[in-house]
Amino acid sequence: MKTILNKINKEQWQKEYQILFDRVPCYITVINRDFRIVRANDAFRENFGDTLNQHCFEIYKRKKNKCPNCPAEKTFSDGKVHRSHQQGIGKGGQKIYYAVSTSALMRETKNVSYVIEISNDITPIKKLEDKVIEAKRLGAVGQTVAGLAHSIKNILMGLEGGKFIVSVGLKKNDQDMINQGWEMLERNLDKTTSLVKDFLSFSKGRIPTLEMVNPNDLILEIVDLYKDVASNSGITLKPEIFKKIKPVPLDPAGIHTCLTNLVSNAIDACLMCEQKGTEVLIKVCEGRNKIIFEVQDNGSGIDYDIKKKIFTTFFTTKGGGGTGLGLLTTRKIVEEHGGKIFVISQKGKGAKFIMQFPKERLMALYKESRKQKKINNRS
Amino acid sequence: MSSKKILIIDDEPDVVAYLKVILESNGYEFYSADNIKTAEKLVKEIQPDLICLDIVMPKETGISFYIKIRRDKNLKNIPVMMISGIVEKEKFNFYSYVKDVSVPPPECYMEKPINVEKYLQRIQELIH
Repeated sequence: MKTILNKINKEQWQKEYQILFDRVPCYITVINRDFRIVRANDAFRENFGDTLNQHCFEIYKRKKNKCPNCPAEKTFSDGKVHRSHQQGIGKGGQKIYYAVSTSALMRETKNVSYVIEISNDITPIKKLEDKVIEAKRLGAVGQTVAGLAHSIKNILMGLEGGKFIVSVGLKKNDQDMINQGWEMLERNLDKTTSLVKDFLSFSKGRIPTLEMVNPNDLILEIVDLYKDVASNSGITLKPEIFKKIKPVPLDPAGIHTCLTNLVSNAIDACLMCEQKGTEVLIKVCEGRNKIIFEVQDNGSGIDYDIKKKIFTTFFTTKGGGGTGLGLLTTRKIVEEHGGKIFVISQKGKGAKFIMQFPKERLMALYKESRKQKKINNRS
Repeated sequence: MSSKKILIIDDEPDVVAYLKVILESNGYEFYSADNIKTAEKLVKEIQPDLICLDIVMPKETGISFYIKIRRDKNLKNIPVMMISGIVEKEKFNFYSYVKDVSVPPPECYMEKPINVEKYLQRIQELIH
């Protein structure tokens, strides 16, 4: 009697297990050591087709070889659970994104014969994520285009103004007026050049070309470039170098652009504030794992609302005097180096911009840069 | 009859120089401020017949100045022409910049670069 009951229970349990296996809302496959599918549930067959005895990579991804970083392979080798996000191709050719978890069947830890792959279809989430990213990208593009249009209109107004003043000067035979108009034309043509240059430099997507440089040299170069501008405006420009620093891999042109932008902003901030004795400190130092550049001023400072957007949008507080791309470009270059930039400031109390570059990341980029150089030389 | 006073508020020196030549050669009395702080003093001092106001300015925007004068009983009736490259004339929506609907929109909005003829025509309409 007990045996009969056991048999009924077992049959009932197997039936229930089969329902669970087939109806659970995720893809389940069991694969053997040859990576062939030996079992698949209904949900899987419905989306990937009838697949028994075929290689999992052929069915999941329509590939002829095993996938790199295959989680099932890892489970076969160590018996542990592995997880990853994958992109597959369904039987209708549609992209399917899934989060897969692989486990040894029967809890084996050595000589795993079968692996069960349980995958959750995350395609709707992925599509939603892509839509959000696209919306953000379009928003940023829109904002950039609007900022650019604003800058161009200001320049056009200057050019129109110059033309108008020259023509009034000619009518009145007023040489001073002609000169004034001509200077306006020249100034606004220069602005066009610098706007285009800034925009191109911002739009360049590139891997920085790293070489071993002494960061102190970069600091001294910038000080040399700006010392006259600063002193003519009554601003003290102070370099603070770190004598013990060793050469580090940096893209000198990129860092030069960053420091130029930061120092020029610092000088403007000093000019905007009414106090005397303003100064700009430009400094480099070395932490345990990073190289740090700092540009500090005791000028007008930045309030909270502006701080939130200076690194993220086409933004200027200088009216027609700025292109709004300086800090955006600076951030881009710093991030291309694997670094971070941030600012500490309070309205009316000056500002300190800090660029930090992790040495490990710089070394990795340096190796990549050298490899690329060799390939370029060969071709 | 004394000439009409126009106050230009713009941080861009070339724009100011351009409008100065246009306005003075058409018989207007010209005043200018390159920041809001100066503009606030000047507007009380000269009581202009018209204010031409840029929107994007360093430190404080033209919008913030505009709200202040509209709430000032001595200044609120001065006509204001906003001049900016920030948005096209047809798409300019004052209440996307000002959330307080009790603040009336400016009498006129002109897009940079201006058309001299239209600019002078609008001035005529606003202050004569």
